[in-house]
Formats: sequence, structure tokens, C-alpha cells
Amino acid sequence: MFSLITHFGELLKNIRPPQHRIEAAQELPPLVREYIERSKEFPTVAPHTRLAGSYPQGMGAGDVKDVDTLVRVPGDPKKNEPKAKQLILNLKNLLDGLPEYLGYEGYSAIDIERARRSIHVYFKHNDFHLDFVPCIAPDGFEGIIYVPDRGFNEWIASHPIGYINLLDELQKEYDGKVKPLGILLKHFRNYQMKTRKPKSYWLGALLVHHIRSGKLDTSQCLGVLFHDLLDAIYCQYDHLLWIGGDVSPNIPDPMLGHNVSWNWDRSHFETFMRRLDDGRRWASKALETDDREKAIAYWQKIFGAEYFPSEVEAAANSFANAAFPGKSLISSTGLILPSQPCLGLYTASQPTKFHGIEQV
Amino acid sequence: MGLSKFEYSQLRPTVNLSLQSLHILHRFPGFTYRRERGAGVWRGTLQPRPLSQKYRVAIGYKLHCHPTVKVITPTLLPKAPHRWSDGTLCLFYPKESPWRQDMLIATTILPWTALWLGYYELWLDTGKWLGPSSHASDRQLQGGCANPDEDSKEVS
Repeated sequence: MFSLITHFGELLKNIRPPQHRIEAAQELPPLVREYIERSKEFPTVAPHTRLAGSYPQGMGAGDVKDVDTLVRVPGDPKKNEPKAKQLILNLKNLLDGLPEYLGYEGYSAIDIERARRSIHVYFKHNDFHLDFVPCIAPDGFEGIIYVPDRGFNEWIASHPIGYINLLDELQKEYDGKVKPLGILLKHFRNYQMKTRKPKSYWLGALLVHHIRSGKLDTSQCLGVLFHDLLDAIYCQYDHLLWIGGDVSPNIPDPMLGHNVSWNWDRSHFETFMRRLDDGRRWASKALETDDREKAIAYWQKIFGAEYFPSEVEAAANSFANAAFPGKSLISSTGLILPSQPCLGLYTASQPTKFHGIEQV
Repeated sequence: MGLSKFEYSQLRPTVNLSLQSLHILHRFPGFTYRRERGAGVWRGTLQPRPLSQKYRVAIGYKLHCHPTVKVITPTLLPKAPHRWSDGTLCLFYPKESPWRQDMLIATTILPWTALWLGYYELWLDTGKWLGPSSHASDRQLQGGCANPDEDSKEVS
């Protein structure tokens, strides 16, 4: 089996959001917080704002142009105070001035089509969006928060920061492969589906479900794990394909348990299942072949030849140099480190030359 | 008159199996230790790169012999380079830098095993061994085993 670790490493580099977007996602939020905090017309509660979505999750795949930002407002969700409809209008009025305050060209709008519960601020100069979601957070951002429902009629429970923390915990617990796997799943969807895409949060919820269920062996390499994840999702829902009507999966929210995919259109679900079936079959062939070129070709069918490289000489040489015995360090789990880590036990490698039978 | 090289080497303290184990279990706490037929055997997993699989390895060591390292799972490709004829890993060139009894497995053999696995993966990806190689024209060593005089009891 060709695990193609270097190829997968390069694939992950090729599908991460562009550097200028990552920088914008880091630089804009403090400025935005300052702007919102200063406002007298629109009262907020400290710490006022908090990033949510794929950037703080560390699971962005591709050119993610929107950054989700929570805005903490005072209120009581049970009494439906403040009225979500009025609040969202007030927030829009406030954010109308944001592009100018930041010195950018842009505009704000209430996003009804996409996120449906947010104010969408577009920055023309860097082709970038900030989605502002007002929330009531009785226990701070780390606890359960309340966001407007789709019709802005009431406040409903959500736990976005809990989800981010959960991903961090799973990433640590399961050999550092959970987030890369989530990124691959999102990229697979983006590459294989131009329309009818399942939402990123649904994919994240499916990933969390299968990781927690223990069905995925995270001691395996990423290629095997990706195959096993597609296979597990397909097998979880293939019985629904035999049931007629409008049936589609109920994907439970990883934090609160309610059905997050209640509006998954049946035909969209069927399209997703067909792509999953193709993906798991190609991945299986890629893992079974004893021909490296064939394995690469199958992975390229899955992820795209423009993302999954044929040649990795430069990356392999770079790693080989960094790993050189006498220069590199080894962690307590065997990870090869080019430099001293901030945390954890490590051992400096001593110089050596590998001996033995020459390769053919 | 100074000591000869041999006499000097005799002065070096031998690191016994218990001390080796103490260092291994401290630096690589995921490993376990057992005494088997007079030899120390340490088993555990190593993951050389963040996206790699975990390799289960067994390190065997009998005093006055070279430590041996075998990858238990997964099965390595038969053509994988830098192995002795019994499949154990060739982590150093004994003629150039022989094993000494004052050496610690935890700071030599185990880190070299992780590096060997990292270079093995690069070999799988590129078809080339990109790590440092020593292929001296010593026919006795090529295709031999780490401890030719020992009754080789394979660890697994």
C-alpha cells in the first residue's frame, strides 16, 4: 500500500485558505470589536465579539471568503428580549459604517439567502466578507449561546465555541488527524459537487460522530482514514436510499443533539451519496494498488490533479533535510521535529548513517 | 603511559537492561518492557509524521550484542532498503560507529528508528532513500544480520 504521506501533506497545503485571507481573519476581528464596543446606540456585553466558523476551527478548505463573528448583546432569550427582528436591523445600522471606519470600500446587508441569521459585511478591496451573528450569551461565549432563528422571531440555542473546543480536543486525542480529515472531507465535497452541497457544519457533525463512535482507527494514515470515513458515512445512510419519499438523514448536532440537517433536500442527499460511493471506491483502489502512479491517479480523481500532486520531490527533500540525524528532534510519540517544540518531551537525534542492503 | 583503546573501553560503564528501560520508558512512555529469554524487549508505536500511521515496533537487546529493531505492523514492503536479511532495521554502520555498551537505546536506537520510518515513507513516496546511507563494500555486512554470532531469536 502506498500511504503517500508527502502527497497528502502537499494536498492539505494546496487546499488551505490563501494566506491573505488567513491574515485578514486575524487582523480584522480586533478592529471590528473596537468599533462595536465604542458604539453607544448598540449596546454589547464584554467581550463583545468572538470569531466562529472555519477559521477558528482550523478546518477551512479552499478560498473561504467569509468569517463568522458573534456579537454579544444583553437580553433574555426565554422572554424573547430583545426582539430579534429589531435587533438585527439595529445591528445592520451599526455595521453600515464599518467599512468606512476600517478605511475600506464595502457595504453591509442582512443575509437572508445564506446564513439567514446574520448581517453580512462585504469588503470590496479584499473581496472578503464578515458575517455578524448577534447572540445572547448568558454564560459567556464558552457556554450555550442563543442566536436568532431563521425568521428572526425567537432566540434558539447554539454552541459554536463548544464545537470549536470539541474539535480541538478530538484533534489532540486522536493523533492529530481529525482536522486534516475534516478539511479533506470539505474539499472532497467542494471538488466533487458544484451545486447541492451539504453544509460544512453537517460534514463536521458527521466527522465528529464517526470519530466518537470509535469506528475510525486514527492510528492509520490519512488516506486509509479518508476511505474509512466515506465508507462509514455511506453505510450509515445507504438504507435511506431504499426508502422512497422525502426521507433524508437526521444529523445530530455534536453539541446539542438536535437535528441540524432538517432541511436537507432528498435529491441533494442522493447526489451526495453518489459522490460518496464514487469516492470510497476510488480510494479503495488507490489503497489496494501496488503501483504508485496508479494510486496517485485515483487520489487525483478524488481530490483533483491540481490539488493532489504527482511529484513531491521538493517537499520530500525538504523533509529529508530537516529530519537529518543529528539535526532533528524526536517527540515521545516518535514525531520527527525540525526544531525544539514549545511543549512536551523530545529527544535530540544523534548522527548516524543507515546501513544494509542497497535498494534495487 | 596511557590506556589502550581496548582498556579505555573496558572502563566505560555498561548500561544494564533496567537502566536502559528506565530511560526508554521516561522518553517514550508509550513503550512497554519485558524480559524474554535473557533479553530486554521494548514494544510500542512510533508515528514519524503528523499524517503517518502508527508503526508498532519491537526493540530487542541482550547485553554484549547489538540492539535489534523490528517493525511488527504494518508489514514493510519487501524491497524496503536498509534492513538486515532477517528484516530488522539497519540503523547504523557497525564498522563506522559500533554499538557500545554505555550507549542508551532511548537516545540512539529509538530516535533512529523514528527517522528510519520517516525516510521509509519518503522512499515509498518517491522511490528514493533520502536519508544518510552507508553502503561500504563490506560483503559480510551486506545481507547479514545485526548479531551474526548470536542465536538469533526473532522478536515480534
